[in-house]
Amino acid sequence: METSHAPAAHVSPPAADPHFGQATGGKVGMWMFIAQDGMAFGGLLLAYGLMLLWADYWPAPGVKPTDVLGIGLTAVATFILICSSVSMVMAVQAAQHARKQATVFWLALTILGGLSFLGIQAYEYTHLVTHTGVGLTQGTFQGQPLHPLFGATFFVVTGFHGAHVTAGVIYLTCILFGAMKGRYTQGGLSYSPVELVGLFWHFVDLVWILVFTFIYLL
Amino acid sequence: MSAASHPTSHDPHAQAAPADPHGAPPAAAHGHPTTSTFITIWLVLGFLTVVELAVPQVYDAEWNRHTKWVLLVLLAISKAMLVGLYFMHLKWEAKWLKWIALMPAYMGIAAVLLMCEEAWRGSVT
Repeated sequence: METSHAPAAHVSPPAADPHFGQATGGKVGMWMFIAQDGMAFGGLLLAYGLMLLWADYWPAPGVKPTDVLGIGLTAVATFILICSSVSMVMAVQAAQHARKQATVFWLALTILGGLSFLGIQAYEYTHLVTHTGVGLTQGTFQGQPLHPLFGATFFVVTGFHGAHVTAGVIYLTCILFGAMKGRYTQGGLSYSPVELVGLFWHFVDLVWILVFTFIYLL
Repeated sequence: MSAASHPTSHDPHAQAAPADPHGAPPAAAHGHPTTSTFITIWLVLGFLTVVELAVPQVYDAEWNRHTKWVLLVLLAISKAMLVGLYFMHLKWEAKWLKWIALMPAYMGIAAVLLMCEEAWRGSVT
């Protein structure tokens, strides 16, 4: 079956594993990575959620997380990240249809979304530390001492996510350079790297949806 | 090279070679999601975000905070699933890839186990 009737015209990419349908090895690999990275975030969020349940007060008696953390600006950042996910799917679609200009445009827009998110996060951190008084291991809010774990968990979870956004922006920038050279718009499976960076970027967006809910709104 | 015409695969013979009972037919039948699908999901995500922001305002009191928690967690999971299914194309992937993607959901099981343990500990002390 393998060699007896193998005409040269039918040389195709390595045979697809029937379990994964038409997914390429790269896609299966990226999903494996996302699954384990998701567990890292899951562990953090699970620990946070349980701590929230068990704490006598959070983050201070009579104070809610929404009082300490500015929700309005973060909601804008959340929406920017969702928008950048949409521009990412548009980039993948453009690459699949071998449209170079559109691929470059949508990738650049996605990077811009990521950078805006990081800018807002940098502003938020600065504001929290210098104005509100939230520290990594201790803090005060309007003269009241905060639960010692509030700052620690907030900065660790959102910082871990911010590191992912930073990595995503770097990853996207590398792909943007390739796209500008027309590497991913040659038809066939050449669009695959754009799809893979898209999977990572959507994952970062997906995690933020959960982080925003758990850290800011609960 | 010719076998890999994924996005414009109107030719059913181009991908028919591997007889895959689960993965291939939906992808071939529905093709890829269109731009309008993505716009719809985007609008739904935006709407759900607005609802999420309203929930802590409506369920503000101490006595209904559990309602707030349940609503927020359900909303967040719905949004996460929309991103996974549509933006990450999971809806169109083969079954095994969906199982891999579902692995972090184990954390949900761990959460239930820990809460059961907590409830049990609360009952013995």
